[in-house]
Amino acid sequence: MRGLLWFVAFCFFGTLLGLVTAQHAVSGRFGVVSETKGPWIAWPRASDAKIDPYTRAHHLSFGLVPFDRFDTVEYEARIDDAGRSLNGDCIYLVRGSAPQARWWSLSAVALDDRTEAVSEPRDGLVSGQLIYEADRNFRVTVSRELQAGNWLRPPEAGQFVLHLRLYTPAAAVLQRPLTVELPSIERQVCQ
Amino acid sequence: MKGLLFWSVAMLLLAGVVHLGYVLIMPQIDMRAGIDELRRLAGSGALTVLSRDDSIRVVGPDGRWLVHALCVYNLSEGPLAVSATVPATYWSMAIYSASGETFYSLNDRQADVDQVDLMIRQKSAPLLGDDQDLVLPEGDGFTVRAPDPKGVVVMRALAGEPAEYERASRILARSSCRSAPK
Repeated sequence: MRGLLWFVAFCFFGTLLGLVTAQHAVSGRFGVVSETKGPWIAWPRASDAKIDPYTRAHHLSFGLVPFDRFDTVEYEARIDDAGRSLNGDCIYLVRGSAPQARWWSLSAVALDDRTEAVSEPRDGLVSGQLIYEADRNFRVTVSRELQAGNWLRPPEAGQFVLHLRLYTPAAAVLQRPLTVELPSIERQVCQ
Repeated sequence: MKGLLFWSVAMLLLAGVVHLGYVLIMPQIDMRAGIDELRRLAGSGALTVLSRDDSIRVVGPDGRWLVHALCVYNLSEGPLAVSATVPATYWSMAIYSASGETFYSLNDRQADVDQVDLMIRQKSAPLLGDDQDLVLPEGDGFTVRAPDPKGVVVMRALAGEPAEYERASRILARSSCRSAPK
């Protein structure tokens, strides 16, 4: 009987440990192959011809079709500049300079929403639609309530993730994604 | 004490196996399921331009300004000829195998053309040497060798405004994807 209990505990905790560590590594929380710059996470080897299994698993974990990793660089942020989780009850100011890319997008999706199956018209912004300041810098307000200027609406419930995707970026950015200047994410107020 | 040590080591070994299984196998299962879903959405062996709602469903919020045209293929029925008409704005073409490998990619900056013709053939033997063997010139276009018989060709075109979306959709709809003689 005691041996059976050991076996059940062995199966349960071994499987749980394996799944949790794998999910954390693939999502970038462990930093096995992902790297961070401020609040942003990037997978610097995503555009390599021989992609590593963690980056590959991450790359295939969004949507039915992954983005073109030879043409697109993706950054993810789950926290603000102060390291606090992004929460839909708060208002954030995302600001920075226009990235070196043909075009780029910024979107907000629910945490661990693997399919990104959202259809809110304000859950994403594209560079061509943004209002820029005179020095080509931009400011985006992330808020559930309507905001003046560039406005991004986060998902209704709980924590969310910001995705910044650069399409046809400069070759140096594709090879070394963390050399690019990335936007800051400042929390303003929370409800 | 000996028993605890034994089960702890065994648990760590099991965790390692589960961890590697998740990282190595789950993405392939996800991709194959994704291709099955795309086949239901866009059919097989023909190029289908997705509606904006379906684009959002397939790639997330970026589907709102990226027109998607898909061709789900099965090379066991023969090679596939792709003739893509592309817009003057941003476009890209990526070919994914059913195991999730992006084995070919092209964008408007790399190919300053308004038409792309290519043939996708199944790789007959394990690839030896340089990956450049994957792409070979053929006629007016070129041949791409696919590592898996099943996969999907994905064309994307930028359309920032609703009117542009319709226009880009019409241009991509002139493209074709069909079985070719072996």
